[in-house]
Amino acid sequence: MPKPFVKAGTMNSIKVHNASVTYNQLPVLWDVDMDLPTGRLIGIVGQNGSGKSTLLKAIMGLVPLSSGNVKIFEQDLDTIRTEVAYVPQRESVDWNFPASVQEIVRMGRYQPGRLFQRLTKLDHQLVEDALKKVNMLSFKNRQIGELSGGQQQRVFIARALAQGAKLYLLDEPFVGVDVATEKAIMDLLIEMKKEGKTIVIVHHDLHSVTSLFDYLVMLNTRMIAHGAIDEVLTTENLNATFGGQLNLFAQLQQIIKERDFPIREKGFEEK
Amino acid sequence: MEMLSSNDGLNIILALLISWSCSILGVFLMLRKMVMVGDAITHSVLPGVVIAYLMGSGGENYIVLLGAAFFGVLTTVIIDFLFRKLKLQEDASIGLTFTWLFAVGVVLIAFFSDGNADIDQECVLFGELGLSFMDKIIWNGYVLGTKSIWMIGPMFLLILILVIKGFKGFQIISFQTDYAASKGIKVNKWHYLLMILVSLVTVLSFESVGAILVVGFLILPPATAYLLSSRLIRIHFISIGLATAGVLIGYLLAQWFDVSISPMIVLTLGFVFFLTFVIKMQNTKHLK
Repeated sequence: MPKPFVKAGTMNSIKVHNASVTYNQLPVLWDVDMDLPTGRLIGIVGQNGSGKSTLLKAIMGLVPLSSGNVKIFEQDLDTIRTEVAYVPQRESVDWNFPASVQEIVRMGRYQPGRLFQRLTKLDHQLVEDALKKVNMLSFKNRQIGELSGGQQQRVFIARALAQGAKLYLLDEPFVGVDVATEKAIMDLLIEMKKEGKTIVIVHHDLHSVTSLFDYLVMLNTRMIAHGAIDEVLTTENLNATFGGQLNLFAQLQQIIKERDFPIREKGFEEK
Repeated sequence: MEMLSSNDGLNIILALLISWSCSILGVFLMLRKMVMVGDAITHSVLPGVVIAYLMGSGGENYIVLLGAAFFGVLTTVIIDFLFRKLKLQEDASIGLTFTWLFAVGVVLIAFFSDGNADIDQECVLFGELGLSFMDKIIWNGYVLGTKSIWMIGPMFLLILILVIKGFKGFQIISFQTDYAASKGIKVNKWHYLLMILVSLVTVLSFESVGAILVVGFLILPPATAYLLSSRLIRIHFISIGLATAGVLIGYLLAQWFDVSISPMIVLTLGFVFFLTFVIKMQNTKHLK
């Protein structure tokens, strides 16, 4: 398979055009249209059932589109799959599955055309590098069920890293993860961004949005807004995204306050 | 107890080949939480077998295999359709599908079995391992095994090769289907390959262990091995070891008590599971 040439910053990472997904004749995603930039940390936010995870799955071709299309780095997914790493929700995993940390991360190197071949030296090296990067090398022989939530998440990020992709799609990576690990994962993602990778994260917790992302997709079955976080995080958009949740006004005020008066350590931006 | 004869040897070889084939497939069925689908397949291949017998007028082996593979896949397709499209519960879909197809098979046998000695209900349900030596293949006075051994033997080798060569594929679809699909791996192809193999092994085990007990061969050794290890490859080895022990001990016990062999093997495998469970419980208690 020829490796497509992808340069950061010069094109759209993901282009979704008029995409709709229906389930039992009910729309889960409706006419979603967006162009996401490269080299950014992009958050997808919305209420439960707003179609966030479905959007990721639609991008990965895991749920059929009832209309519309998706392009990744301006190509069809099938021609560019090795460049896209998908990290499913933790709930989708059977934690009693008989596999070690190392075996899980090796799956990052599996490819359809190479399933019948042995992994190469390079593959094993990349697996080890990825484990080192997430600080899990010393756990490589543990069974995955023996790890904490945060460690499990790091293993799955290592698996994505081992793939050597340019675009990363993470579905709720901070669920069931303690604050310290969330910070560690975030630092890692920021570092990846600096290397020119594009990272898209489905996220449910509005509070941390401003400190995590620099680009935001706001979803409520339809696309409410997407763009640089300072531009789209308005009261109006938040209302449209999270409307109907009564206790939200208090939260909204908090968020806007945080945006205007961010409590951050100095030098966070440079991290 | 009489000494074991060479006929017993042939029966044991057959039972071992069946149990090893079942063990390998059973591990993946268990990890994919599809043991009940496997159970369904073992029953619903029956109409395929009967139709093939009728078409081939007495059972051309390869037609029977084709019929079984077809009905095995059909079963999973119907279950999937009921579950995903009609939104019936999964266990209801499974129960509905295989009982109905099994009934079709039984009725077909009842209608057409007169004068066809190759197939009868007793045999299909329970099998008779003790008689497997009867279709001996003899060449120049040497016994070269039995027809059954020459059918299941190549099947076992095929499964072995497929699982060794395609280990990564079976592993990744068992662990996380969505993730495998996101990598462009043809999840459905692997799924149906597994289902076809289960169908074929089931059919080849019909005469000796029957449609009901073959599930015991599929699940008991893997389930016991699962208690003993948390590495997929080790689970396979342990499972095959347990299957071997179960077959040998079960066979001897059956001779001793003069009872049907395959139920005795399944009974033994069940005791091994129970024993393993108790020992494991004891050990974890000590650790605490």
